[in-house]
Amino acid sequence: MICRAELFVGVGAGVGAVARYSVGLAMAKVNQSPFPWATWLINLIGTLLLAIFVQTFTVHHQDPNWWLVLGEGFCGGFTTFSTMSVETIRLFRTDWLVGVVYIGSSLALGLFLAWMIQFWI
Amino acid sequence: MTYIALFLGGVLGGMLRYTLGLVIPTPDSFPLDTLVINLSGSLALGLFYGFADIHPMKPWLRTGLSTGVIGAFTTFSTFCTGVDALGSTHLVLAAAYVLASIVGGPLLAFMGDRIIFALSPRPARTTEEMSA
Repeated sequence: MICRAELFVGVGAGVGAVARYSVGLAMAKVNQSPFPWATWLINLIGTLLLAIFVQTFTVHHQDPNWWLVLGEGFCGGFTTFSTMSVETIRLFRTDWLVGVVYIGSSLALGLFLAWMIQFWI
Repeated sequence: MTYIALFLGGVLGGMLRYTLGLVIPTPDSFPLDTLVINLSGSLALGLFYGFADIHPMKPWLRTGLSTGVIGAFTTFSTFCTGVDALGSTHLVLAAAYVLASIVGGPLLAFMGDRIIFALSPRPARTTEEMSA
């Protein structure tokens, strides 16, 4: 039996996956470099949104349903770790320094965004 | 068709992530669930792309399974907020979590690709190569 919480997360994640693909298509038109700007941007925007939702739906207000749909669901499905791993390996094969910059900047900026939101909201 | 596959794949990946999160324990508030999800998903995507390169499939199926299911299964945002939450109490554990994720993820994606390559049949060697 599928519970309600699972459905909430699932629908959010489905929309997140479609949004990630759409951003990827749009970025492919402007990004001619091998640097995976689409995933980079998606992961950072998604992390910023998740940090905002953590504060809004679990700290300041208790709103478990919206947290499941927008936080666990949308942000979790929008951002991706596996694609970042694969892209890092692809970059390592051509220019390892770009690979280090890619995963290093994703990590540093992602952690900074996750940390600073608590002071802002 | 691609968008339907993406949406359904995303639903499946998200539900799988959420369910595993309920099942996998988080000892000392260490996000073992997210670590297991991101590492296994990275391995799965490496395996899948390696497989899909050898066995061409319909584009909607390829996108639905990779970008949809595996992409939505793994998560970068929960990883970042997880590091932040853990770092406020267990700084060393948080550093270990970061290291295991960002070294382990790409390494497993690479291994996935290599495993498929090693398993895939190659053209039989010629006698010249055999005697070399």
